[in-house]
Amino acid sequence: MIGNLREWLAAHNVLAVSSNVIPNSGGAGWPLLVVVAVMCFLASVALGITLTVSNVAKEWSADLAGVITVQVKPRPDVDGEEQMQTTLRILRETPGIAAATPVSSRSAAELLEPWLGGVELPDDIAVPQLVDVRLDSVMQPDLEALRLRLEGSVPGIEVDDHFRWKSRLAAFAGSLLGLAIAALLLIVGAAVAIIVFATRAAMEANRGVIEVLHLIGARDTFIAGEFQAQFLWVGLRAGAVGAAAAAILLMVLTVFAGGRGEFFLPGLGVTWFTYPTLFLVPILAAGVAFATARATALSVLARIL
Amino acid sequence: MILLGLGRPRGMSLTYLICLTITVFARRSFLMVRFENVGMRYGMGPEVLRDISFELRQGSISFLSGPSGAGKSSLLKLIYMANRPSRGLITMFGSDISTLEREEMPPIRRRIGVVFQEFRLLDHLTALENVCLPLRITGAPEENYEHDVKELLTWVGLGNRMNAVPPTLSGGEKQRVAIARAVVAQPDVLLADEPTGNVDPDMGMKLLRLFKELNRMGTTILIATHDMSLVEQTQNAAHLHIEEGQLSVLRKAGGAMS
Repeated sequence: MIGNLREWLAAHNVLAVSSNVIPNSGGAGWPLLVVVAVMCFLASVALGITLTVSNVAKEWSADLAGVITVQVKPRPDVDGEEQMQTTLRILRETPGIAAATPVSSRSAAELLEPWLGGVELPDDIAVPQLVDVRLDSVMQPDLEALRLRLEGSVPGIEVDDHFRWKSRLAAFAGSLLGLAIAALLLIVGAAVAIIVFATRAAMEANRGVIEVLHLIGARDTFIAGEFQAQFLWVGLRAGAVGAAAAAILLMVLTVFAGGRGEFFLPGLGVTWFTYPTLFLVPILAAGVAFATARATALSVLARIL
Repeated sequence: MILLGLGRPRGMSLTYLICLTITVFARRSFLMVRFENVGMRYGMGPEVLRDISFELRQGSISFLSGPSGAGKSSLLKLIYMANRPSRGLITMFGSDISTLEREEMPPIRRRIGVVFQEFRLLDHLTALENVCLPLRITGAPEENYEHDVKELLTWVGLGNRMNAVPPTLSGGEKQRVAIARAVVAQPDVLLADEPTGNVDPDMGMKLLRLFKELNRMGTTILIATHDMSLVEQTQNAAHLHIEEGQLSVLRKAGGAMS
Protein backbone atom coordinates (compact mmCIF):
# COMPACT_ATOMS: atom_id res chain seq x y z
CA MET A 1 0.00 0.00 0.00
CA ILE A 2 2.84 2.37 0.92
CA GLY A 3 4.53 1.40 -2.37
CA ASN A 4 1.39 2.35 -4.32
CA LEU A 5 1.13 5.63 -2.46
CA ARG A 6 4.76 6.34 -3.24
CA GLU A 7 4.16 5.69 -6.96
CA TRP A 8 1.06 7.86 -6.95
CA LEU A 9 2.90 10.73 -5.28
CA ALA A 10 5.74 10.41 -7.76
CA ALA A 11 3.39 10.27 -10.74
CA HIS A 12 1.54 13.37 -9.58
CA ASN A 13 4.71 15.25 -8.81
CA VAL A 14 3.62 15.75 -5.21
CA LEU A 15 7.00 14.77 -3.91
CA ALA A 16 10.45 14.16 -5.22
CA VAL A 17 9.98 10.57 -4.28
CA SER A 18 11.77 7.64 -5.23
CA SER A 19 14.46 8.14 -5.66
CA ASN A 20 17.52 6.56 -4.49
CA VAL A 21 19.71 9.45 -5.57
CA ILE A 22 20.72 9.98 -1.95
CA PRO A 23 21.61 6.69 -0.24
CA ASN A 24 19.18 5.81 2.50
CA SER A 25 21.69 5.76 5.30
CA GLY A 26 23.72 8.00 7.53
CA GLY A 27 20.76 9.61 9.30
CA ALA A 28 17.51 8.14 8.11
CA GLY A 29 18.40 4.52 8.87
CA TRP A 30 16.80 2.10 11.34
CA PRO A 31 18.15 3.72 14.54
CA LEU A 32 16.22 6.88 13.66
CA LEU A 33 13.19 4.75 12.86
CA VAL A 34 13.34 3.23 16.36
CA VAL A 35 13.79 6.61 18.07
CA VAL A 36 10.94 8.22 16.13
CA ALA A 37 8.72 5.18 16.77
CA VAL A 38 9.33 5.55 20.52
CA MET A 39 8.55 9.28 20.30
CA CYS A 40 5.36 8.48 18.41
CA PHE A 41 4.42 5.88 21.01
CA LEU A 42 4.84 8.47 23.77
CA ALA A 43 2.95 11.06 21.74
CA SER A 44 0.13 8.58 21.15
CA VAL A 45 -0.08 7.76 24.85
CA ALA A 46 -0.12 11.50 25.68
CA LEU A 47 -2.83 12.04 23.06
CA GLY A 48 -4.79 9.09 24.45
CA ILE A 49 -4.54 10.53 27.96
CA THR A 50 -5.55 13.98 26.71
CA LEU A 51 -8.64 12.57 25.01
CA THR A 52 -9.45 10.37 27.98
CA VAL A 53 -9.14 13.15 30.54
CA SER A 54 -11.13 15.48 28.35
CA ASN A 55 -13.80 12.81 27.97
CA VAL A 56 -13.91 12.05 31.70
CA ALA A 57 -14.04 15.75 32.62
CA LYS A 58 -16.92 16.23 30.20
CA GLU A 59 -18.79 13.24 31.64
CA TRP A 60 -18.28 14.41 35.21
CA SER A 61 -19.38 17.94 34.41
CA ALA A 62 -22.40 16.68 32.47
CA ASP A 63 -23.36 14.39 35.34
CA LEU A 64 -23.23 17.21 37.86
CA ALA A 65 -24.47 20.08 35.72
CA GLY A 66 -28.17 19.27 35.86
CA VAL A 67 -28.33 18.05 39.44
CA ILE A 68 -28.59 19.56 42.91
CA THR A 69 -28.94 17.76 46.21
CA VAL A 70 -31.15 18.98 49.02
CA GLN A 71 -30.25 17.71 52.47
CA VAL A 72 -32.92 17.74 55.15
CA LYS A 73 -31.28 17.40 58.55
CA PRO A 74 -33.47 15.89 61.25
CA ARG A 75 -34.24 18.16 64.21
CA PRO A 76 -35.71 17.07 67.53
CA ASP A 77 -38.27 19.88 67.48
CA VAL A 78 -39.56 19.31 63.94
CA ASP A 79 -41.33 16.35 62.40
CA GLY A 80 -39.07 14.83 59.74
CA GLU A 81 -41.90 13.72 57.50
CA GLU A 82 -43.39 17.21 57.53
CA GLN A 83 -39.96 18.67 56.69
CA MET A 84 -39.67 16.36 53.71
CA GLN A 85 -43.18 17.05 52.40
CA THR A 86 -42.70 20.81 52.62
CA THR A 87 -39.40 20.53 50.85
CA LEU A 88 -40.83 18.39 48.03
CA ARG A 89 -43.80 20.74 47.63
CA ILE A 90 -41.61 23.82 47.30
CA LEU A 91 -39.31 22.06 44.89
CA ARG A 92 -42.10 20.80 42.67
CA GLU A 93 -43.71 24.25 42.61
CA THR A 94 -40.52 25.92 41.49
CA PRO A 95 -40.27 26.54 37.74
CA GLY A 96 -37.18 24.88 36.19
CA ILE A 97 -37.20 21.81 38.42
CA ALA A 98 -37.77 18.73 36.30
CA ALA A 99 -37.96 16.20 39.13
CA ALA A 100 -37.46 16.00 42.89
CA THR A 101 -37.08 12.47 44.23
CA PRO A 102 -36.39 11.59 47.85
CA VAL A 103 -33.44 9.24 48.24
CA SER A 104 -34.59 6.13 50.06
CA SER A 105 -33.03 5.28 53.41
CA ARG A 106 -31.63 2.11 51.80
CA SER A 107 -29.87 4.16 49.07
CA ALA A 108 -28.60 6.60 51.70
CA ALA A 109 -27.19 3.67 53.67
CA GLU A 110 -25.44 2.45 50.51
CA LEU A 111 -23.83 5.85 50.11
CA LEU A 112 -22.45 5.60 53.63
CA GLU A 113 -21.29 2.01 53.17
CA PRO A 114 -17.77 2.88 51.91
CA TRP A 115 -17.10 4.74 55.17
CA LEU A 116 -19.09 2.74 57.69
CA GLY A 117 -19.10 -0.71 56.14
CA GLY A 118 -22.17 -2.88 55.68
CA VAL A 119 -23.37 -2.62 59.29
CA GLU A 120 -26.93 -1.75 60.20
CA LEU A 121 -27.19 1.79 61.54
CA PRO A 122 -28.64 2.15 65.05
CA ASP A 123 -32.03 3.89 65.08
CA ASP A 124 -30.82 6.71 67.31
CA ILE A 125 -28.33 7.94 64.71
CA ALA A 126 -30.01 10.74 62.81
CA VAL A 127 -29.22 10.30 59.16
CA PRO A 128 -30.13 13.31 57.01
CA GLN A 129 -32.78 12.75 54.38
CA LEU A 130 -31.69 13.54 50.81
CA VAL A 131 -33.65 14.77 47.83
CA ASP A 132 -32.20 14.24 44.38
CA VAL A 133 -33.28 17.23 42.28
CA ARG A 134 -33.03 17.16 38.47
CA LEU A 135 -33.01 20.57 36.79
CA ASP A 136 -34.72 21.39 33.56
CA SER A 137 -32.10 21.48 30.80
CA VAL A 138 -33.84 24.39 29.02
CA MET A 139 -35.16 26.62 31.80
CA GLN A 140 -32.72 26.74 34.71
CA PRO A 141 -34.24 27.76 38.08
CA ASP A 142 -32.99 30.67 40.16
CA LEU A 143 -31.01 28.58 42.65
CA GLU A 144 -30.30 31.46 45.06
CA ALA A 145 -34.03 32.33 45.34
CA LEU A 146 -34.83 28.63 45.79
CA ARG A 147 -32.24 28.31 48.53
CA LEU A 148 -33.64 31.35 50.41
CA ARG A 149 -37.20 30.04 50.10
CA LEU A 150 -36.30 26.57 51.33
CA GLU A 151 -34.22 27.88 54.24
CA GLY A 152 -37.07 30.19 55.24
CA SER A 153 -39.68 27.43 55.14
CA VAL A 154 -37.85 24.34 56.37
CA PRO A 155 -35.50 24.56 59.33
CA GLY A 156 -32.26 22.60 59.02
CA ILE A 157 -32.14 22.42 55.24
CA GLU A 158 -29.07 22.62 53.01
CA VAL A 159 -28.99 23.07 49.24
CA ASP A 160 -25.86 21.72 47.57
CA ASP A 161 -25.39 22.72 43.94
CA HIS A 162 -22.02 20.85 43.84
CA PHE A 163 -20.26 24.07 42.80
CA ARG A 164 -17.21 23.44 45.01
CA TRP A 165 -16.90 19.86 43.86
CA LYS A 166 -17.36 20.81 40.23
CA SER A 167 -14.79 23.60 40.37
CA ARG A 168 -12.22 21.30 41.99
CA LEU A 169 -12.98 18.65 39.42
CA ALA A 170 -12.60 21.16 36.61
CA ALA A 171 -9.28 22.34 38.06
CA PHE A 172 -8.06 18.75 38.35
CA ALA A 173 -9.16 17.87 34.82
CA GLY A 174 -7.62 21.11 33.50
CA SER A 175 -4.29 20.31 35.18
CA LEU A 176 -4.23 16.80 33.74
CA LEU A 177 -5.16 18.13 30.33
CA GLY A 178 -2.46 20.81 30.50
CA LEU A 179 0.09 18.22 31.55
CA ALA A 180 -0.83 15.92 28.67
CA ILE A 181 -0.71 18.75 26.13
CA ALA A 182 2.66 19.93 27.50
CA ALA A 183 3.98 16.37 27.21
CA LEU A 184 2.67 16.19 23.63
CA LEU A 185 4.35 19.48 22.71
CA LEU A 186 7.61 18.43 24.35
CA ILE A 187 7.58 15.17 22.42
CA VAL A 188 6.92 16.99 19.13
CA GLY A 189 9.73 19.45 19.99
CA ALA A 190 12.11 16.60 20.78
CA ALA A 191 11.12 14.81 17.56
CA VAL A 192 11.81 17.98 15.55
CA ALA A 193 15.24 18.33 17.20
CA ILE A 194 16.07 14.68 16.48
CA ILE A 195 15.04 15.02 12.82
CA VAL A 196 17.06 18.23 12.44
CA PHE A 197 20.07 16.40 13.85
CA ALA A 198 19.46 13.33 11.68
CA THR A 199 18.99 15.41 8.52
CA ARG A 200 22.24 17.24 9.17
CA ALA A 201 23.98 13.93 9.81
CA ALA A 202 22.54 12.49 6.61
CA MET A 203 23.68 15.55 4.65
CA GLU A 204 27.14 15.40 6.15
CA ALA A 205 27.38 11.68 5.36
CA ASN A 206 26.35 12.41 1.76
CA ARG A 207 28.32 15.59 1.23
CA GLY A 208 30.07 14.14 -1.83
CA VAL A 209 26.78 13.16 -3.44
CA ILE A 210 25.32 16.60 -2.77
CA GLU A 211 28.37 18.28 -4.33
CA VAL A 212 28.05 16.18 -7.48
CA LEU A 213 24.34 16.94 -7.71
CA HIS A 214 25.06 20.64 -7.37
CA LEU A 215 27.78 20.56 -10.00
CA ILE A 216 25.58 18.85 -12.57
CA GLY A 217 22.93 21.52 -12.03
CA ALA A 218 20.49 20.10 -9.49
CA ARG A 219 18.41 22.72 -7.73
CA ASP A 220 18.32 22.92 -3.93
CA THR A 221 14.67 21.91 -3.97
CA PHE A 222 15.56 18.69 -5.84
CA ILE A 223 18.24 17.79 -3.31
CA ALA A 224 16.07 18.77 -0.34
CA GLY A 225 13.28 16.73 -1.94
CA GLU A 226 15.42 13.62 -1.70
CA PHE A 227 15.91 14.11 2.05
CA GLN A 228 12.35 15.14 2.80
CA ALA A 229 11.02 12.08 0.99
CA GLN A 230 13.25 9.79 3.04
CA PHE A 231 12.20 11.39 6.31
CA LEU A 232 8.53 11.42 5.30
CA TRP A 233 8.56 7.63 5.06
CA VAL A 234 10.49 7.33 8.31
CA GLY A 235 7.83 9.47 10.04
CA LEU A 236 4.97 7.52 8.49
CA ARG A 237 6.35 4.07 9.35
CA ALA A 238 7.58 5.02 12.81
CA GLY A 239 4.31 6.82 13.55
CA ALA A 240 2.27 3.77 12.53
CA VAL A 241 4.34 1.49 14.77
CA GLY A 242 4.23 3.91 17.73
CA ALA A 243 0.48 4.55 17.43
CA ALA A 244 -0.29 0.84 17.12
CA ALA A 245 1.76 0.08 20.24
CA ALA A 246 0.02 2.88 22.15
CA ALA A 247 -3.40 1.63 21.02
CA ILE A 248 -2.57 -1.84 22.34
CA LEU A 249 -1.40 -0.36 25.66
CA LEU A 250 -4.58 1.71 26.06
CA MET A 251 -6.72 -1.33 25.27
CA VAL A 252 -4.91 -3.37 27.91
CA LEU A 253 -5.28 -0.53 30.44
CA THR A 254 -8.96 -0.18 29.63
CA VAL A 255 -9.59 -3.88 30.09
CA PHE A 256 -7.47 -4.46 33.20
CA ALA A 257 -7.38 -1.14 35.00
CA GLY A 258 -10.08 1.33 34.21
CA GLY A 259 -12.85 -0.19 32.18
CA ARG A 260 -15.43 0.23 34.93
CA GLY A 261 -16.18 3.08 37.26
CA GLU A 262 -15.18 2.68 40.87
CA PHE A 263 -17.37 4.17 43.64
CA PHE A 264 -18.04 7.80 42.69
CA LEU A 265 -15.24 7.90 40.05
CA PRO A 266 -16.33 7.12 36.54
CA GLY A 267 -14.42 4.68 34.29
CA LEU A 268 -11.13 5.45 32.53
CA GLY A 269 -13.11 6.82 29.62
CA VAL A 270 -11.05 5.42 26.71
CA THR A 271 -13.76 5.35 24.10
CA TRP A 272 -13.57 3.69 20.71
CA PHE A 273 -13.32 7.17 19.26
CA THR A 274 -9.87 7.46 20.86
CA TYR A 275 -8.37 4.69 18.73
CA PRO A 276 -8.97 6.12 15.23
CA THR A 277 -7.75 9.47 16.59
CA LEU A 278 -4.43 7.84 17.51
CA PHE A 279 -3.83 7.12 13.87
CA LEU A 280 -3.49 10.83 13.27
CA VAL A 281 -0.10 10.37 14.92
CA PRO A 282 1.61 8.79 11.86
CA ILE A 283 0.24 11.58 9.68
CA LEU A 284 1.43 14.20 12.15
CA ALA A 285 4.82 12.46 12.47
CA ALA A 286 5.19 12.27 8.69
CA GLY A 287 4.25 15.94 8.34
CA VAL A 288 6.66 17.04 11.06
CA ALA A 289 9.46 14.88 9.63
CA PHE A 290 8.80 16.12 6.09
CA ALA A 291 8.71 19.81 6.98
CA THR A 292 11.66 19.62 9.37
CA ALA A 293 13.87 17.72 6.94
CA ARG A 294 13.01 20.10 4.10
CA ALA A 295 13.67 23.24 6.14
CA THR A 296 16.92 21.81 7.52
CA ALA A 297 18.16 20.62 4.13
CA LEU A 298 17.40 23.96 2.45
CA SER A 299 19.14 25.91 5.21
CA VAL A 300 22.23 23.68 4.99
CA LEU A 301 22.28 23.86 1.18
CA ALA A 302 22.04 27.65 1.28
CA ARG A 303 25.46 27.70 2.94
CA ILE A 304 27.05 25.63 0.16
CA LEU A 305 28.27 27.36 -3.00
CA MET B 1 25.90 53.52 -31.00
CA ILE B 2 29.25 53.86 -29.32
CA LEU B 3 31.02 53.77 -32.66
CA LEU B 4 28.68 56.39 -34.05
CA GLY B 5 29.15 58.49 -30.94
CA LEU B 6 32.90 58.48 -31.38
CA GLY B 7 32.53 59.91 -34.83
CA ARG B 8 32.71 58.15 -38.18
CA PRO B 9 35.97 58.18 -40.16
CA ARG B 10 35.60 59.87 -43.49
CA GLY B 11 34.70 57.43 -46.26
CA MET B 12 33.32 54.73 -43.97
CA SER B 13 29.82 53.75 -45.09
CA LEU B 14 26.87 53.34 -42.76
CA THR B 15 26.39 49.77 -44.02
CA TYR B 16 29.96 48.95 -43.04
CA LEU B 17 29.38 50.36 -39.56
CA ILE B 18 26.19 48.35 -39.12
CA CYS B 19 28.00 45.20 -40.25
CA LEU B 20 30.87 45.95 -37.88
CA THR B 21 28.47 46.48 -34.96
CA ILE B 22 26.62 43.25 -35.74
CA THR B 23 29.94 41.40 -35.97
CA VAL B 24 31.06 42.71 -32.58
CA PHE B 25 27.78 41.74 -30.93
CA ALA B 26 27.75 38.37 -32.68
CA ARG B 27 31.29 37.68 -31.55
CA ARG B 28 30.36 38.64 -28.01
CA SER B 29 27.28 36.44 -28.08
CA PHE B 30 29.38 33.48 -29.17
CA LEU B 31 31.67 33.81 -26.20
CA MET B 32 30.97 30.86 -23.95
CA VAL B 33 33.66 31.52 -21.34
CA ARG B 34 35.63 34.67 -20.70
CA PHE B 35 38.26 35.20 -17.99
CA GLU B 36 39.63 38.68 -17.34
CA ASN B 37 42.59 39.05 -14.97
CA VAL B 38 41.32 36.26 -12.78
CA GLY B 39 43.20 35.30 -9.64
CA MET B 40 42.35 32.60 -7.17
CA ARG B 41 43.64 31.47 -3.81
CA TYR B 42 42.44 28.82 -1.37
CA GLY B 43 41.67 30.48 1.96
CA MET B 44 44.55 32.68 3.04
CA GLY B 45 47.11 30.75 0.98
CA PRO B 46 49.12 32.03 -1.99
CA GLU B 47 47.45 32.61 -5.35
CA VAL B 48 47.25 29.36 -7.31
CA LEU B 49 46.03 31.20 -10.40
CA ARG B 50 47.33 34.62 -11.38
CA ASP B 51 46.08 37.09 -13.96
CA ILE B 52 44.33 34.51 -16.10
CA SER B 53 42.72 35.99 -19.19
CA PHE B 54 41.30 33.95 -22.05
CA GLU B 55 38.14 33.28 -23.98
CA LEU B 56 36.47 30.14 -25.26
CA ARG B 57 34.25 30.78 -28.23
CA GLN B 58 31.32 28.62 -29.23
CA GLY B 59 32.37 25.53 -31.13
CA SER B 60 36.03 25.76 -30.17
CA ILE B 61 38.14 22.89 -28.92
CA SER B 62 41.07 23.59 -26.63
CA PHE B 63 43.58 21.64 -24.62
CA LEU B 64 44.97 22.75 -21.30
CA SER B 65 48.31 21.27 -20.34
CA GLY B 66 50.72 21.81 -17.52
CA PRO B 67 52.59 19.94 -14.83
CA SER B 68 50.82 18.47 -11.81
CA GLY B 69 49.86 21.18 -9.32
CA ALA B 70 50.16 23.93 -11.92
CA GLY B 71 46.48 24.91 -11.51
CA LYS B 72 44.69 23.01 -14.31
CA SER B 73 42.02 21.58 -12.03
CA SER B 74 41.63 24.89 -10.18
CA LEU B 75 41.02 26.63 -13.50
CA LEU B 76 38.39 24.07 -14.46
CA LYS B 77 36.75 24.42 -11.02
CA LEU B 78 36.32 28.13 -11.65
CA ILE B 79 34.61 27.39 -14.97
CA TYR B 80 32.20 24.83 -13.54
CA MET B 81 31.59 27.12 -10.57
CA ALA B 82 32.83 24.86 -7.80
CA ASN B 83 34.98 27.76 -6.59
CA ARG B 84 34.80 31.52 -6.86
CA PRO B 85 37.68 33.70 -8.05
CA SER B 86 39.53 35.86 -5.53
CA ARG B 87 39.68 38.62 -8.11
CA GLY B 88 38.95 39.33 -11.73
CA LEU B 89 35.90 38.75 -13.87
CA ILE B 90 34.48 35.48 -15.17
CA THR B 91 31.68 35.57 -17.74
CA MET B 92 29.80 32.40 -18.61
CA PHE B 93 27.38 32.47 -21.54
CA GLY B 94 27.28 36.25 -21.23
CA SER B 95 26.56 36.33 -17.47
CA ASP B 96 29.00 37.61 -14.88
CA ILE B 97 29.03 34.69 -12.47
CA SER B 98 30.09 36.80 -9.49
CA THR B 99 26.74 38.61 -9.57
CA LEU B 100 24.61 35.51 -10.09
CA GLU B 101 21.96 34.71 -7.53
CA ARG B 102 22.09 31.23 -6.09
CA GLU B 103 18.97 30.09 -7.94
CA GLU B 104 20.43 31.31 -11.26
CA MET B 105 23.37 28.91 -11.04
CA PRO B 106 21.70 25.54 -11.81
CA PRO B 107 20.57 26.51 -15.34
CA ILE B 108 24.15 27.61 -16.12
CA ARG B 109 25.65 24.47 -14.58
CA ARG B 110 23.33 22.35 -16.71
CA ARG B 111 24.93 23.87 -19.81
CA ILE B 112 28.32 22.58 -18.65
CA GLY B 113 29.31 18.92 -18.75
CA VAL B 114 32.21 17.94 -16.55
CA VAL B 115 34.41 14.85 -16.59
CA PHE B 116 36.02 14.96 -13.17
CA GLN B 117 39.56 13.69 -12.73
CA GLU B 118 38.41 11.44 -9.88
CA PHE B 119 35.19 10.56 -11.80
CA ARG B 120 32.86 11.45 -8.87
CA LEU B 121 30.34 8.75 -9.72
CA LEU B 122 27.67 7.92 -7.15
CA ASP B 123 28.71 4.52 -5.82
CA HIS B 124 25.21 3.40 -4.83
CA LEU B 125 23.79 3.96 -8.33
CA THR B 126 24.32 1.73 -11.35
CA ALA B 127 26.27 2.94 -14.37
CA LEU B 128 22.95 3.53 -16.16
CA GLU B 129 21.52 5.54 -13.25
CA ASN B 130 24.70 7.60 -12.99
CA VAL B 131 24.52 8.54 -16.64
CA CYS B 132 20.79 9.30 -16.38
CA LEU B 133 21.37 11.70 -13.48
CA PRO B 134 21.84 14.99 -15.44
CA LEU B 135 18.53 14.29 -17.23
CA ARG B 136 16.77 13.08 -14.13
CA ILE B 137 17.45 16.31 -12.20
CA THR B 138 15.64 18.25 -14.91
CA GLY B 139 12.48 16.32 -14.12
CA ALA B 140 12.29 14.70 -17.55
CA PRO B 141 10.35 11.41 -17.57
CA GLU B 142 12.67 8.39 -17.61
CA GLU B 143 11.06 6.84 -20.67
CA ASN B 144 12.06 9.93 -22.69
CA TYR B 145 15.77 9.35 -22.30
CA GLU B 146 16.39 5.80 -21.15
CA HIS B 147 16.83 4.43 -24.68
CA ASP B 148 19.32 7.18 -25.64
CA VAL B 149 21.31 6.66 -22.46
CA LYS B 150 21.55 2.91 -23.10
CA GLU B 151 22.68 3.61 -26.64
CA LEU B 152 25.36 6.01 -25.37
CA LEU B 153 26.61 3.47 -22.83
CA THR B 154 26.74 0.83 -25.55
CA TRP B 155 28.71 3.22 -27.73
CA VAL B 156 31.34 3.74 -25.03
CA GLY B 157 31.62 -0.02 -24.66
CA LEU B 158 29.61 -0.48 -21.50
CA GLY B 159 26.54 -2.15 -23.00
CA ASN B 160 27.00 -5.18 -20.77
CA ARG B 161 27.93 -3.21 -17.64
CA MET B 162 24.93 -0.89 -17.40
CA ASN B 163 23.65 -2.39 -14.17
CA ALA B 164 27.03 -2.57 -12.47
CA VAL B 165 27.75 -0.16 -9.63
CA PRO B 166 30.98 1.90 -9.78
CA PRO B 167 32.87 -0.03 -7.07
CA THR B 168 32.73 -3.09 -9.34
CA LEU B 169 33.93 -1.20 -12.44
CA SER B 170 37.56 -0.87 -13.53
CA GLY B 171 39.22 2.55 -13.73
CA GLY B 172 38.69 2.71 -17.49
CA GLU B 173 35.04 1.72 -17.18
CA LYS B 174 34.47 4.38 -14.54
CA GLN B 175 36.15 6.89 -16.83
CA ARG B 176 33.76 6.04 -19.64
CA VAL B 177 30.71 6.25 -17.35
CA ALA B 178 31.92 9.67 -16.20
CA ILE B 179 32.33 10.82 -19.81
CA ALA B 180 28.91 9.47 -20.75
CA ARG B 181 27.37 11.35 -17.81
CA ALA B 182 29.11 14.56 -18.87
CA VAL B 183 27.91 14.42 -22.47
CA VAL B 184 24.47 12.86 -22.10
CA ALA B 185 22.62 16.18 -21.76
CA GLN B 186 24.47 17.61 -24.78
CA PRO B 187 26.04 20.49 -22.88
CA ASP B 188 27.15 23.72 -24.54
CA VAL B 189 30.54 23.46 -22.85
CA LEU B 190 32.34 20.23 -22.00
CA LEU B 191 35.19 20.29 -19.51
CA ALA B 192 37.29 17.18 -19.12
CA ASP B 193 40.00 16.75 -16.54
CA GLU B 194 42.41 14.03 -17.73
CA PRO B 195 39.65 12.16 -19.58
CA THR B 196 41.95 9.54 -21.06
CA GLY B 197 44.14 9.03 -18.02
CA ASN B 198 42.73 5.61 -17.14
CA VAL B 199 41.99 4.09 -20.52
CA ASP B 200 44.12 2.23 -23.04
CA PRO B 201 45.31 4.08 -26.16
CA ASP B 202 42.58 2.59 -28.36
CA MET B 203 39.83 3.67 -26.00
CA GLY B 204 41.61 7.02 -25.63
CA MET B 205 41.40 7.55 -29.38
CA LYS B 206 37.76 6.48 -29.37
CA LEU B 207 36.93 8.97 -26.62
CA LEU B 208 38.83 11.70 -28.48
CA ARG B 209 36.67 10.94 -31.53
CA LEU B 210 33.60 11.34 -29.30
CA PHE B 211 34.84 14.73 -28.15
CA LYS B 212 35.56 15.78 -31.72
CA GLU B 213 32.12 14.65 -32.80
CA LEU B 214 30.51 16.68 -30.01
CA ASN B 215 32.68 19.62 -31.00
CA ARG B 216 31.59 19.25 -34.62
CA MET B 217 27.98 19.50 -33.40
CA GLY B 218 28.78 22.82 -31.72
CA THR B 219 29.89 21.91 -28.20
CA THR B 220 32.75 23.99 -26.85
CA ILE B 221 35.37 21.68 -25.39
CA LEU B 222 38.24 22.23 -22.98
CA ILE B 223 40.35 19.19 -22.12
CA ALA B 224 42.96 19.29 -19.37
CA THR B 225 45.52 16.62 -20.14
CA HIS B 226 49.08 15.42 -19.79
CA ASP B 227 48.73 13.40 -22.97
CA MET B 228 50.47 15.42 -25.68
CA SER B 229 49.46 12.92 -28.36
CA LEU B 230 45.85 14.08 -27.97
CA VAL B 231 46.97 17.66 -28.60
CA GLU B 232 49.02 16.68 -31.62
CA GLN B 233 46.17 14.72 -33.17
CA THR B 234 43.76 17.64 -32.96
CA GLN B 235 45.20 20.16 -35.35
CA ASN B 236 42.38 22.69 -35.14
CA ALA B 237 42.54 22.88 -31.34
CA ALA B 238 44.04 25.65 -29.30
CA HIS B 239 46.70 24.68 -26.82
CA LEU B 240 46.78 26.53 -23.50
CA HIS B 241 49.56 25.86 -21.06
CA ILE B 242 49.52 26.66 -17.38
CA GLU B 243 52.57 26.73 -15.18
CA GLU B 244 52.90 28.13 -11.65
CA GLY B 245 49.42 29.56 -11.91
CA GLN B 246 50.03 31.56 -15.08
CA LEU B 247 48.47 30.83 -18.43
CA SER B 248 50.16 31.00 -21.81
CA VAL B 249 48.95 30.12 -25.29
CA LEU B 250 51.15 27.65 -27.13
CA ARG B 251 48.92 27.37 -30.14
CA LYS B 252 46.12 29.59 -31.33
CA ALA B 253 43.51 27.81 -33.31
CA GLY B 254 39.83 27.11 -33.37
CA GLY B 255 39.04 30.24 -31.46
CA ALA B 256 40.89 30.11 -28.13
CA MET B 257 43.19 33.03 -27.62
CA SER B 258 44.91 34.75 -24.78
